[in-house]
Amino acid sequence: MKLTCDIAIVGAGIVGTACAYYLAQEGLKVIVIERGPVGGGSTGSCMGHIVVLHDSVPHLALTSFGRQLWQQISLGLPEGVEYNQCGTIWLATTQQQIQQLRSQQTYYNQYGIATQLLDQDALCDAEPCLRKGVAGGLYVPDDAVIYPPAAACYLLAMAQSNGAMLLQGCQVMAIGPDGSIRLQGNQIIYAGIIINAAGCWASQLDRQLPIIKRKGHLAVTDRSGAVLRHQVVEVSYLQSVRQDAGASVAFNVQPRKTGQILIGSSRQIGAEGTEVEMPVLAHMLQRAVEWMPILANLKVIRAWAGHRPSTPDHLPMIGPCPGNERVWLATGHEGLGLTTSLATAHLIANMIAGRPCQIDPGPYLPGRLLQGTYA
Amino acid sequence: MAKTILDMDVVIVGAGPAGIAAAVTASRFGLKTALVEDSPGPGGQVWQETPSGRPWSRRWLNRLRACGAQVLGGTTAVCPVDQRTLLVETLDDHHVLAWRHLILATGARELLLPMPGWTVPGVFGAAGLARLAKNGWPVAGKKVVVAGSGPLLLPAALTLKRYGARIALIAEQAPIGRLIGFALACMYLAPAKLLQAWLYGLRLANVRYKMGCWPASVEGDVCLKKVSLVHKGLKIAIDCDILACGFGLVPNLELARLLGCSIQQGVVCVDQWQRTSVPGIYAAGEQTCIAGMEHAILSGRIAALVIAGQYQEARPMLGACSRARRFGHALARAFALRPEVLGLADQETIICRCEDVTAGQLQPYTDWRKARLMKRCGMGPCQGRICGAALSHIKAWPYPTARPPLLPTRIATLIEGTMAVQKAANEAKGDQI
Repeated sequence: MKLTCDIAIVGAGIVGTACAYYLAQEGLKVIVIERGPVGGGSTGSCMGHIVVLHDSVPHLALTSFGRQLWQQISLGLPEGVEYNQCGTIWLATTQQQIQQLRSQQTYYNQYGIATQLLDQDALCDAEPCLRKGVAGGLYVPDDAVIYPPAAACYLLAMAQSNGAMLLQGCQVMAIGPDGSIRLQGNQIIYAGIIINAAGCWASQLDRQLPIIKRKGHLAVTDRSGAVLRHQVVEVSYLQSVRQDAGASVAFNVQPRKTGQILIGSSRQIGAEGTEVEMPVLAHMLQRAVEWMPILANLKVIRAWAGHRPSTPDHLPMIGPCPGNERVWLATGHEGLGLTTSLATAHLIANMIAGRPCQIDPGPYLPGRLLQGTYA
Repeated sequence: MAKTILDMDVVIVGAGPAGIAAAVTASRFGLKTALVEDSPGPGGQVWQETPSGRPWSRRWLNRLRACGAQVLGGTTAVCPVDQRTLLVETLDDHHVLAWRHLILATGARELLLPMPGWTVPGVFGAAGLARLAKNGWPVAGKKVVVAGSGPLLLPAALTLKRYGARIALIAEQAPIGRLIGFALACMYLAPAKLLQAWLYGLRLANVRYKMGCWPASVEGDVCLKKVSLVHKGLKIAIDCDILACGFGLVPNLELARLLGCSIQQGVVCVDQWQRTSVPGIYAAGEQTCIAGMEHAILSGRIAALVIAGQYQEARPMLGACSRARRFGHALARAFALRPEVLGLADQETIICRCEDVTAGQLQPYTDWRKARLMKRCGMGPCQGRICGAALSHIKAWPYPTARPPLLPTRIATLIEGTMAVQKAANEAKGDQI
């Protein structure tokens, strides 16, 4: 049997399912191919934050657009997706960091992103369990957290209601420049456009993709954790994100709708397995306890590790491969796949339809990293 | 605050018969031994110290007290920190145990199978309730149905009766034909067990015992009111206060799995010397074969003797240990669960009690990972100990991979325990330089 479609998406993580969500809405015939569970890769092991990040202008543009799209569909999300607009508080300890928060605020204002500076007292009111003496914080009220695998399932289900098809348990062996996809067992699918949304595993389909796995650890407490109201992140989180060697940790905690607290985060390069490494886990937890001493006596019920798909310049690859207009990329989102999934899919849908995009897709086009390799 | 690490020749996890026998034996040869036990005191599920304790168990507990092994009661194994250390937690503290040899003697727990109404207050594990009764849980005057499968139903019923419960019925799901065959096999493999069963029978002489009979559902809202059972194709309803229900035992494999020991057909793989697939790690007792106390004691002693290098003394025990294992296999065959008891749950029946996941919600899923991701099945505080065992029987799902911590653990424990190990490793490096 010959299977044909307009769009074949490899990977049913949050990015792949978001692509299916928008493309199926356009009336295109979409097939999603997934070898494991829906949302079972990085999506299933990540924190699930929808945050505006100001690492660079393209980051800010993509994350704020992504957050806006989540907000638009948030009312229709089923309860299981656990969308919780708890807001983010960025924490500063030094005057220099307070200055950093001020410039962050100015920067956000230019993009119409609501913020509020919190002084020591206001911070204490907002998060009473933080250690005393934290100099101040920047509150970003529209940030949210979400339960990622359920979100991927929802987006896929919506796509399916618009005619998209899921091929689950199918391993893609090869993708061809002619739009063919060879599955294990030699079944071939022909697609007008193939979207490689395989996250960390995208480079298994195309060895030239510069995808770097960044391992991260997370831990979640039992349900006694009603000591947190907002997502809380230390400002130096961004330094941790930029770090390109070794292991680093940063304080990042989230209140979950279940009454649990999700504790992150760590970043490692060159760690292939997803086993929990006690030294990294302990280091990460210690950082969290330094900020929130009360955590020391809470109980962790589970710890795990996963990988983020990152690129050399920390920006995702969104758009057609140079030299092959039938193979598109939607990968390399690192720790922002949840936030930027809908924005990524929106860009792709508009680019495929030849419509103007709401934000400039230029910074994310794969050509910047693949110049010459596809000649 | 990094604490010192307790350096041990032998660390034994689980102070039931296997663990106690191993600790006593290892100490005899001067090995520095620590015995880690969840419960406040040693004894495990069968030798728990009570005034009415039997002479045999008292003898072993006395030997343990005298042998010099360090007994860490109320202590839970959390996870390994590195290849030769085990992090453990107590009510308000933690320790790191460094071991040269590790013996896993974590025993087994009751298999609880979901059926409509099984989450109503008044439904207990059979052996679990017997243990509660010994600790003062009031069962006097209560009308109890004991149901499920396996030889443990009898001592459980007897204990409940001794504490004043009225046993309305003992229902064994295995058919009578298989039990007769088993009794015949026991004549050769374990005549003492047969005698024991007969004694139980005498003491429960006026209690109804039905074979080929199993519970199908439980009724009641704030508490249990009625249990429905199936016998010879007919439904029997019994008004009662308590259902004590266990479908046999399943080994506690979580720690073995976390340590990477090979596990096959639901038990830890060991050779005749009780060695697991991981060098330096041994396993003894129920997690290597559900075969009862004699097997547990023998296998615990063998493991400790092998560690002490006393093969001469261990060798004569191998025959008895292997016979005990054959008894275990015969036991498993005789009390194999019939398909009906694996299919009792209806759509609304809760499977995962921690996260309130029903059988209906699990229907679309074909494996653990999907069920966990989408429905949080097995993601609560028990980490799938109850629903994991049930689903491995009902849906034949293999257990999910084990991750640290094995049970909810204080964050301070994870931090300080790990740092202590790192500090020791750094100091060792410094010494070398």
